[in-house]
This record gives sequence, structure tokens and C-alpha cells, in this order.
Amino acid sequence: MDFTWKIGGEAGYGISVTGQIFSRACMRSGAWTYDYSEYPSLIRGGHNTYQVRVADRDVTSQTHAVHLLVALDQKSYDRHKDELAADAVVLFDPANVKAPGGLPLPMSEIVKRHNGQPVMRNMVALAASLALCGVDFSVLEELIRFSFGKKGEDVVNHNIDVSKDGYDAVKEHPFAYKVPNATEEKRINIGGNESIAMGAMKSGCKFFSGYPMTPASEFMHFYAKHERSMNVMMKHTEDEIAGILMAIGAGHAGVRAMTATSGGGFALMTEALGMAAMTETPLVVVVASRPGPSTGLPTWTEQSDLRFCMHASQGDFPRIILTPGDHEECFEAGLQAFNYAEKYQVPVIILTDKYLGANARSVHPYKVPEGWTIDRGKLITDPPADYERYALTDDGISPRAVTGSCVFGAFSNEHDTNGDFTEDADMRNKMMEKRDKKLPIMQAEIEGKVRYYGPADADVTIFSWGSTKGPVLEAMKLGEAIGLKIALVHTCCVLPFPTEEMRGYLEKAKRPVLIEGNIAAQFGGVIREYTGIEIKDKYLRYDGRPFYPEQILKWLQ
Amino acid sequence: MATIKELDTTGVGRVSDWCPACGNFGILMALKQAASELGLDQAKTVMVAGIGCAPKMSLWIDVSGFQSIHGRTLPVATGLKMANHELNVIATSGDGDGYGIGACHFVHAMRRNIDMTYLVHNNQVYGLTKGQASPTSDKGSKSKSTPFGVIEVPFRPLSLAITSGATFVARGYSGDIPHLKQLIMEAHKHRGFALIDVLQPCVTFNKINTYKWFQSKVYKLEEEANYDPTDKMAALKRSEEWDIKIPIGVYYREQRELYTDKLPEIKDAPLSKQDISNIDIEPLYEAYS
Repeated sequence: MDFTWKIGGEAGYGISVTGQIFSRACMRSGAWTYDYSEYPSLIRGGHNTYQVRVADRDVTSQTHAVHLLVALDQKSYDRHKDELAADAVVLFDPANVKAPGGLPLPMSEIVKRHNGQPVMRNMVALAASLALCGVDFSVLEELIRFSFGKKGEDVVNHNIDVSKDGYDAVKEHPFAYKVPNATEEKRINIGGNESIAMGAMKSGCKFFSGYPMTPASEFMHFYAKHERSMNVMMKHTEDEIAGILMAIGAGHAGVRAMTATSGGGFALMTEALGMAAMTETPLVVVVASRPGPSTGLPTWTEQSDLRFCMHASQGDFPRIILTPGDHEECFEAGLQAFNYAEKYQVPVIILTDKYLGANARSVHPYKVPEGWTIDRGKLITDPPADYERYALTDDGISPRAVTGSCVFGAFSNEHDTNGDFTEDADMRNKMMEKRDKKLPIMQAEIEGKVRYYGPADADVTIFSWGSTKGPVLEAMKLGEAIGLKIALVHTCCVLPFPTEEMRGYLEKAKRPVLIEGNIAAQFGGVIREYTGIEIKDKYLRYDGRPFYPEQILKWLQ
Repeated sequence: MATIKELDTTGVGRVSDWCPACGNFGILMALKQAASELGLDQAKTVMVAGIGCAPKMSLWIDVSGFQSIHGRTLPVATGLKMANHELNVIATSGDGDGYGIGACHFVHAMRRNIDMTYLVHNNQVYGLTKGQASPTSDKGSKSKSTPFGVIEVPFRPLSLAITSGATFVARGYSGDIPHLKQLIMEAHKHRGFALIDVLQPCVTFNKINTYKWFQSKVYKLEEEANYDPTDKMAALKRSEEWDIKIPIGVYYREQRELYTDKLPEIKDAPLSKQDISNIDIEPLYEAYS
């Protein structure tokens, strides 16, 4: 079983809530799901879609073919009829949609019969969809209680009644894909942004400050929602500049702190990023990128901020850039970023994009890896009388007292070991070299962040970073079916650059190819810069849409 | 309790590099006197500053310091105070740093009412960059960046503060150290965001607003028997006075809940002192199941 359900309609119709409930109902029944949504940058109108790939194995990307289409309006049918698989079923409301050969479902009529609001047509369609793929009605009933419980018993019952009629209307109709009713294990359906936030929460990040920006606003919502239950602080600031600065202030006071934004907001943050580096204040910044330049395509995806993150802010300073490839690696990045930031007293950037950040997938609830603990590095609570904040050490990392425990200064200017402003050439060299010394130890820390997937004797080896991992893994499965052996070399960390591991894989690859979501082949350029090897074969995408496994395979052939 | 001498930094090799007779000296002295008299703990008192002549003050008083980038004093100060509300936070800035590039943060910090003292050294000129007009330069002022005179009307920090929700709005004059010291002490004791705009001559680049000029203009609000600093409209009216006479003293004050009063997560302990070793995220998964 492996099929895709898709719903389309205007923004404000509850498309995404409906999609989430469908996905969770299938997941609760025992399937694995991958959700993918597209929406324009507006609140009402336009055309939104939410699709869910439902399978009996863990799936890591969306695919093109749609097997069950819900058309709430004519546009949804007209725009997506070409995506329909041969055995597809189209559920449509005959009151306002014409879909030849589709399965009419009197959505408006059912809602009217129950004196419901027009938006409840979603529930009718949702219930009918679940009936077609064999999900027990009780699963939906539970989810309605779960989702609308706060609105009171009347609302819950009203939704259940409307849904029941939708469910019964089509339950005898044939549909080729049935979700097994066997849930033996607990799964959650979660997006990449929230996976990072979950890791951050576990890691003791107690302070979030930032400014809303698609596709990174989930961080703010997550921290705001859990402010009281988890004893954390969330501050929606006047702009991104204040967002990063407050996090630096909190970090300086000894609290694990973060901010999150997209490219435009990060552009505003760049000066402060350098200040975190200069004052050696631990800081975590999430950049969930979207297509630029400028406002670009605000609700779509792109991987074009890699070079920007690598070089953001004036001057030279060490930093870490984590580039998780899937939801589990997002959690891992959130969990590790704060340890790295405190251990090395450097800024850590977690770079994702709309595709990975916003789309949900079913996963096992995240478990903290064996042996993981909170590592606060050289944090000291009781500084000695002769304490120097920027003491010169062998590894370049100085014992870190927090403000309030003793008198010391932190300056965005170059400073001496005591933190006092200096323009002395010798001290300047010492301080630059002290900060630079952290690089080799950081390099050792990131070992294992380059991961190899697929057969050792692959015909073609794909090199990628960040969110392309999911579609490439799916393309590998498609390749297997036609006898094309594909491997993936994926890195979850671009700075420090894993030069030796990458060079090893490049030298072994029979046919190395590069896949990434930007026009300039930025990662390809970075590989060349560090290894001296150029990957000539490149599949680049910059239309705001994610990679699709079918297209990757086609391009490889 | 640190003495004025203990707050001095010349002993640790930090000697101020302001121009001789700079108005900043008066502000620094008033601050040291106030800090000493208030008995502020040197480690728990943090001076947060931006960039410019004025923010250098954080270097020359021996308390904890954080010198941020240009214009970005208040958000760092806010982050520090939110993370550890047991710190005494004193933010300091100049008219370019605080009212020009940092104006956006200024407005929102006042709205928020975080408990801190904000000292803005207002000399109506950019000093460290060698003499350009600033947001508070008078209309018509000639400078390196305005050889034909400033075209805009000046920024009025006090009226903006009163209407933006600041709960303590005062103006001091660096030529009157005892009065300024008193203002700093009152600002520190005030529970909320306290702005002190300090009139300060720039002896090198501002040849108009000199000691003599200020001396002839300033008068003390508290010497007026009928002045009521809790009357917002009266304060607003006074804050527009400039051309003939300039009031110094407390223009406006009100008691209002702090931003941090509304945060139950720090009721028992500052955020920075909370244990993070064993945070349970299992209950959070429920919402995604």
C-alpha cells in the first residue's frame, strides 16, 4: 500500500487542519505518512493544497501521482486532474464542482441537513476519504474529540454527526488502497521546525526571542505554547535584530537561548551574529530558508542561503552550520546545537528550508541517543579572584563565567584576556588565533555527520545536504526497481566542512552527481573549495518547488 | 558597597579617552556617586552600552559590562534582565546610538516596562565619527553632514518616551552633577523602565550647545511648587520646552506592572538559575499523535 490523498481549496477553508487529521487518522490506524502542502502568501482565497502520502513503510517524500483527490472547488479538480493515477478516485461536491468520472459526495447537502457551517464540508470529505481507505470510523471520532475537545461537547458531537453521514455515504465504494487497522507502535506526525524545537526544549533551551517570518514562525508558536507548562520564555520582539540580540543577552546571563527566522530576517541579524562570535556568547540561530532574493517566493522552498549562512557578518570567526536532512536529524540538530554552542562558545546555525521545516512526517517519538547529556563546556559558577573571561588556553576556549558572578566585560570591540578594549597588535593576533584554534576540535566533533546510504558499488552517487535527503532516498528505491544502483552521500553539517570524509567518498564514486535546490550550485562550490574536486553533473532546482523522486530518477537516466 | 574609588578603573589600566572637559565626565561622576551611595554590587550590576563616545562609559566604571554594537543596547539589556531579573541593569547610549539607529528598540523597550535605568548622553552631535548632525541637532544646525543646516525638526526623546509608555522620564544636565546623581538614584529605585536624557556639551564638535548655553537655559522642575510629575499631559507639555528654557528633573512617573511580573515561569527563580539537566519532553508528543 502506497497512495496519495490530496485536498484542494481556498485559503481559509480549513484545508491544512483537514489534511492533518487525515494524516493522523491513517497514522493512528497503522500507516506511515508524509504530508506536503502548498499555499500562496495570503490569508483568504488563492489555492491551497495539502497532500498526504500513506504507505505501509516509512516514506520520506511526496510523489506526483494522486490516488484520492478531494475537490472542494472547481479549481482543485481542474488544476490537479493531470496528477491523477489510473486507479484514482475523485471525491467532489456536485453542488459546485464538475468532475467527470468522479465520485459525487453531497457535502453541502449533508452539512445543510445538520445545520452546519459551509466549512464543515471538509469534515464530510475527510470522513468519506477515510471510509474509502478502510480506516475505522472510531479513529476519526477520537481525533475529532482530540482536535475540537476544547470547543465543547456540542461542537464535537456536531462534527461527529456530520462526519458519520459522509463516512456512510461512500463506505461501500471500491478503492484500491486500504490502510491496515493494526497500530502496534506509537508514532507522531511532526514537522521539521517542531522537531528542532523539541530537541532544543530537551536540551534546556529556555529562552526564545524572534520575529514572525514564514517558514520559521512555528518556533515562536511552539515556545509560546509551552511557556507555562515547560517554564520557558518566549519574546516576540520588535524586529529580527532585537530577536537575536535578546537571545545573546540571555545567553550572556547563562541561559540557553535561540532565535529563528528565514533569509530576510537573518539578513537583519548578521551584524549581531558577529557580536556573538566576538563576545564568545553561545547562541543558536535557526534559518529556515525560502526562495530569494528579497521577498522572493515567501511560501515556497529553496536551498539558496548556504553561502549566506557560511559568510554572514563581517570578519573571520569560527561557526557551526548544521544541515539536517530529515525530521529525525532535525531533532538531533536541536539537541546538539546548544551543547556545541556552549562547548565552543560560538554561534551555531541550523539551516533548513520551508520543505523540511514546514512539512510533517510520521516518525517514532524521538528518543535521546544513548550517552547524550547536556554539556555546558567550560561554564563556571564560582570564578576565582584572578578570573579572566578571555584567558588564552591551548584549545582557544576560555572558562566562561556568567554575568552576575564576578566583574568582567564583554565587548564587541577586540579585547584583551580580561575583556577590556584593546587595539594592541600583539593582543589582536592572540585573540584572533585563540578563536581560530577552536576549529580543529570542532572538526573532530562533527565526525559522523556525513552519512552514506545505499549500496557500496553504486552506479551513481548523489552528493547532497539538508532537505534533499528525503526525495533522494525515495529515488533510490525507484532506482532499485529498475536495476539502477544509486547511493547518497549526505552531510548534516557544512561548517566545519567534513573535508576528508567528503573527499574519500568523492574519490570512490563511480559517477558523482550533485543535487541541490539553488541555481548557483552553492554546495558544489563548497565541495570544490575544500576538496579541489568539482562535481560536473548537477541537478539544480530553483522554482520554489521541492525535488520529486520520480524527477530525480528521470534526470539520472 | 563600593566606594567611588573602587568603581574607578584607572587602577586596572582603563583610563578614559574622552576629550578634556567633555560633558561625559560629569555623567560618569554622577553615576559613580549614585552607584556608591546606592551600594550597588559591582558584579551584579551590568552596564550595557552601544557604540559611540557615550557608550564608552561602560569601560570606565568597574562593574560588569556588555558593549553591544551600534544602536543595539536595549535588546541586549532586555535579554539579560529577562534571563536574570536579579541583575541591576543600567543601559547607556548616546543620541545617535539611542535615538537614531536604536530608535525602534527605544520605543518598544518603554512599552514593555522592563526594570532598568537608561542613560542617554545627549550632545546633539555624532562625536566619535567626528561631527555629523544627530537626531537631536536643532533645525538649521550646520555640521559635516549638514553644511547647509539640518532640514528636519529635532527628535524629542522625552515626549516620545511619555507617549510610548515609559514609567519614569527625566532629564539631567552633565554640568550639574549633584542633581544628576539624585536623578540616577531615583531612576534606579523606580520599579520599571527609567529614561534619563542627559544634556551634555560636546566641546569639540558642538559649538552652539555649550556649557554656557545650557547654563543659561536649564531650570529645575522640582523647584516649582505646583509641578506634578504624575500628570501626563502636563509632562508632555513641558517636554516640548526647548527654545527659551529647558526643564531638568523628573518630568513624569507612574507605577505600572513590569513585563516580568506577568511571567509565572520566573516567579520562583530567575531563568538563569533553573535546572535544565532533566527536562521531560514526553508530554509534548501528545499534540502530534
